[in-house]
Amino acid sequence: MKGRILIIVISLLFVLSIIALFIFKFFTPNSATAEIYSEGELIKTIDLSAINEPYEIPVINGECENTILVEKGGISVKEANCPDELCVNMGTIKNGMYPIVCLPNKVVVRIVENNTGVDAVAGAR
Amino acid sequence: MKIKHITLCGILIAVSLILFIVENQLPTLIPIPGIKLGLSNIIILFALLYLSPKETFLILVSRIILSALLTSAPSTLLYSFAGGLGCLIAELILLKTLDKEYIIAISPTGATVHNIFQLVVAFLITKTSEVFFYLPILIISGIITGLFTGLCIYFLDKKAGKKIKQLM
Repeated sequence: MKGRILIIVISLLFVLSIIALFIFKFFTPNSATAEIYSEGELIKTIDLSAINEPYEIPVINGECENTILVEKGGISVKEANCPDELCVNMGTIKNGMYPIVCLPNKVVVRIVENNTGVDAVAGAR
Repeated sequence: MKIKHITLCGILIAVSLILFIVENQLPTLIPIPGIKLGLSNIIILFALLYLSPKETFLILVSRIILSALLTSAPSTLLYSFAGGLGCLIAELILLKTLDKEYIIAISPTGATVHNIFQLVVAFLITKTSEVFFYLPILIISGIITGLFTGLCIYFLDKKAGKKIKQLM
């Protein structure tokens, strides 16, 4: 009996997750400001729409090194010395939702909504 | 601990290390941190079924420390410990309350708990709440991979469970 409940809970979780994935797909915000975090601290904010020439940013923190490639409208991790290189494999992100996370090196690259961010601050004043 | 159990623990640690290394060599299908087969979970489930919780804990901790040394990535220790211990505790409680038959459901739960714990640690370390957008995909992957490892141990127990019990 208890086992059945567990199976039902797991199936529900599975279905809910798939629904959530679809919702995320439809509500992806279009935005052009990228933020680079290292160990939880914001180290750089880049307006991706204002970039003409692609360039690289090194993020070095102790022994951890990530090279971040900034292009017009997109941002990616080009090189990293972390063991799994998942952050490199994640490719270029262009909008919202999924941040690039390099867990071993504690680096996060995410894209935020530039318009609403400004509005929220302006509205608060 | 009986000598038989000590040797078995050693073998299981070795096997889970080998599984870990083999798994690391496989190309990543979906480039999202946290998505992997989790073959070592088979060993943990095996130990939970046939050995004591204490011995399982020992196997898990040695495997985590040794694998971190092998891959030379001490920064991943925290993630491994959080995920591994969360998974072990969840599976332990479920195995105590449920029938062995339900191992196919227990394993996905353990894998999902593993992924959620790792995500929480990732949130605490990176301090970006955006990592929680990975939650649905990590739950899905946890359930699928957990189902796979659960099926492995389910069939093992069905075919060879009695013989293994006799040998203990």
